[in-house]
Amino acid sequence: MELFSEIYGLYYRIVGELLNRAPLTREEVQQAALDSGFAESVLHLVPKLLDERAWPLLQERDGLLYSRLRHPVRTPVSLLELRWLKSALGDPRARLFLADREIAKLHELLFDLPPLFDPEDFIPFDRFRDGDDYFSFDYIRHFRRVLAALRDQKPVKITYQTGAHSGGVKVHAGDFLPLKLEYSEKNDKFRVHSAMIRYGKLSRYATINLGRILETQDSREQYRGRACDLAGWFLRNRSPEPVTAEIIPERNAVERFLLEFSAYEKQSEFDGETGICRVRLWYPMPDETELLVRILGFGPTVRVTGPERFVRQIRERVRKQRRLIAKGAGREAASDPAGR
Amino acid sequence: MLWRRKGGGFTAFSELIKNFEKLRDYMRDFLIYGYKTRSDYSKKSARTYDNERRRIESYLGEYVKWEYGKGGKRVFLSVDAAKIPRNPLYRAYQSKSFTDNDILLHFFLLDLLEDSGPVTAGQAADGILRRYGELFDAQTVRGKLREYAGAGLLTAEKQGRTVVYRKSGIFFSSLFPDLEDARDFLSFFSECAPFSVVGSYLGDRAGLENTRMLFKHHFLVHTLEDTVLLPLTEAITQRRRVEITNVSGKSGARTVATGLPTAILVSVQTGRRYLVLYGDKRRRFHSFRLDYLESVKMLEPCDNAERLRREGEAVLRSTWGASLSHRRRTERFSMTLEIDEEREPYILGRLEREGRGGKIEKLAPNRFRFSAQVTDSGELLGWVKTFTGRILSVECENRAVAARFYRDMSRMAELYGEEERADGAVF
Repeated sequence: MELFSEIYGLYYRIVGELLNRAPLTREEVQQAALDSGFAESVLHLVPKLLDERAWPLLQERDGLLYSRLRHPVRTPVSLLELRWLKSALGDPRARLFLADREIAKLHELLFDLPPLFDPEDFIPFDRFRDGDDYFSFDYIRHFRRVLAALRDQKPVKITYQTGAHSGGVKVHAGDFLPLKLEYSEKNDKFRVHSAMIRYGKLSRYATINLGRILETQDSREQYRGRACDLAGWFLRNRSPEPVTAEIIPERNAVERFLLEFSAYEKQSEFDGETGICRVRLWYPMPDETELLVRILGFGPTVRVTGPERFVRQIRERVRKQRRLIAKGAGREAASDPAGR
Repeated sequence: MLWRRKGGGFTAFSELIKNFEKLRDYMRDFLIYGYKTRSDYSKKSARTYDNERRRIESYLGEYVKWEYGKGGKRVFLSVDAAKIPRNPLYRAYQSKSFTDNDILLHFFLLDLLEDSGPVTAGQAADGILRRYGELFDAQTVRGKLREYAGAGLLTAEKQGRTVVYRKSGIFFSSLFPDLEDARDFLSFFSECAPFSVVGSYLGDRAGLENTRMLFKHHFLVHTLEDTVLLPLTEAITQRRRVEITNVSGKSGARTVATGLPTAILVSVQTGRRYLVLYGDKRRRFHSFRLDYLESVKMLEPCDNAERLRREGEAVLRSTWGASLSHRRRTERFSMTLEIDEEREPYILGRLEREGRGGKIEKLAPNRFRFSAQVTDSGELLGWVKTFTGRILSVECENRAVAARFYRDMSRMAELYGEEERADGAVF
């Protein structure tokens, strides 16, 4: 049971699809390799496929290439895939996407197979503790309704609350056209990026945590405007300038920093003489505080050099920290006059 | 397409590869570090670098970027993981090389078995000759039939002294009658489950593309560890010992260890994943970075696996991160924070959410103490420093840890020009 096997390879897939599409012209074969293959597949795959002495799978007659197979290509699902599927079905989040009867049917089909892994053997030790409740009947109901609206591209009426962490709980309601669902492994939460629709028009873009939804209902709104430009919204939310930082070669900080921020678009340069790594990192503006806090976690092994607005925030926190330590030390000295 | 060999001959460049591990290190470097130049790969020949770089460009063209700097041309992968529908590194898993016989037998056998009923290896070889006019010896055909039975594409049944093979009856359509359900389910799990690349294989069967999901805080690089992770999870499930070869990230030193694997620790914040192994040599639990493991060999079942697993769970209950100290004794760590309860309740929320079960006490108005009892309190410091600007004091039984915190804060002040004046005032 191999993870890295040619049966899942791109060449097999392209050849299978071409055999199913035959008869074909030579140009169509080349085009398929260009469209679906790796950048150089047209140089490696096509000559083999067009040479009947190399791979006698296609036969040329009257300028067309015919499949030598009798049936359309149908490859059974492999043991690796079935065992993986069984493991995935054991995850409580499976119920967000599949109905209980579908899951039960799949379990029945896979009953005699061992799962590929036990999710319990994977321990996400630093995952936030207030993740979404995938066992909640209401949560599943809201999730499925939002997902259905996303599939059908129809608005859904959502009532949700905000401010649970800031003390000022507010309840909001509106008609939202879901555009993308987003999952964060760190927060263990789903969010939906959506367009708020009022009187048939796009009012604004909004991101709603699925866990904060109180109710979902059918919406009477219809949106017939231009296609929503979520990518454009993301771009407008992107930091105008990257954060630039110097990572000092201490406590394995270079490797730790670059791995921790590998999800971000970034560029790095290493100074062989000093061992300092300079990084530019682009981020979404709503995540600025999170990024700032995470960088602070690296302490003096990372020095942020720009943009000035970002540096100012760090400097402010460092200054405040100095004052607090001085205050704490003063208090300690006062409570221990002997200086012990 | 041809490279000149030292001896004067030519060797063809192949887009496909036999060994995933060779490519894995380059992909990781291009994605994580991104600053290395050709000359940094001194361990391997320059030709090897050129070939691997060319392959990565071929698989991941749109994400491959380069820049010229002091040391030369830096090739790197630039990806905003939160904005892409599919992990681009999966393309590398689709690049396994094969022989002409492999691909021909794949399509001929699956086609033959579609309507032939069960066949022996000899009958399959005859059938291929009759139907497609291609001659394969029975031994080659038998090898492929066995391989495919092992992979689950065929079923094998012994009839007397011979084995007959038939096509497995499980196809994508029999698993997922509703394609849209399948699309959403696989879009999610083919990014978020362990061995997520397998989910992408399944989705590829039906040509399903992710059109509705995005992933934040997503570590694309994890997929590159899956080839060593697979035998580890098999060993964990089967309670078997393993032999691992670990290559130190710092020194490059290669060490071999044997023992019982009991769990995989995943840091969803830092992107590091670890194997928890009860080592035979020192008879204690160790953690090994998955991305530093070069190979894993499965050994025999372990007699006292259940007891060791229970012990492992107990060890993990008193650790903050992945440092599995051999010390049984735990150390008390606490920090006192100044938090404006009215205006900053979200900071208290952070303590609860991120504090891994640590204790939170209110000492006075706007003053809180967070405390935890762990085996290696040094591990908390990274998280503690995320509260910079709110920490009144840090106390720890391990004085070196508290001292490191205060030293770090002084260095931060120096770094950002906040040195203390002689009179103690901070400016």
